[in-house]
Amino acid sequence: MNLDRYPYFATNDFQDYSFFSEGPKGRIKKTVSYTRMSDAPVVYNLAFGDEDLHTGKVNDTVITNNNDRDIVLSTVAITIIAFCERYGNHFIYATGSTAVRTRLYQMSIAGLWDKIKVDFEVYGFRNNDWHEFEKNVNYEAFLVRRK
Amino acid sequence: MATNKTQRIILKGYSAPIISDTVKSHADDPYVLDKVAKAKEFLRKHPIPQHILKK
Repeated sequence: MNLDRYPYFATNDFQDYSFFSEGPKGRIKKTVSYTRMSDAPVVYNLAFGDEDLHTGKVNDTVITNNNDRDIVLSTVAITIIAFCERYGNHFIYATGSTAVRTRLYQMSIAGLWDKIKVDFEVYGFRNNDWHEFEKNVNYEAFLVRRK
Repeated sequence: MATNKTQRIILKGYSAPIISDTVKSHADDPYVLDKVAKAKEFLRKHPIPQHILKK
């Protein structure tokens, strides 16, 4: 997947990743954390947000506006590949902390869709059911599986 | 006048991550725990349908 991305770092168990967003708002540490939440089927939760450099805690309620939304999402997508290389191509569940944030994820996926769909199946939840991802459709949550 | 410029380093495509002690586990982070609890509840109410599981 030939996406522009930031250099990224991982814990030695490949469950937590970090990288730095660089832009007009400065250098902001981003973190991606994967947590197994079911065994049949195997599903992992993807938690993504800014890491407070003082407390180390994650927060995704901040709107960073660092003019790099697609690079940030691409880097998150790359962490999915790294995670799957280690743990297998299981389902990964992701949603924003708010409807606005989830919509931002949807817009980013749509913007990168031609590249993302090469490597990933993506499903979105709407109208009480899971559907294959389509551009210009609003979803409440996403499921991703590497092909 | 001081400026707060940062240099954006962009790479292309996949390569394995760099393992670093500066990356912390967030397994016990309240934000992550809350997200996982909500995700479990969401998938309990809205399980992945068979046609997607079998794909």
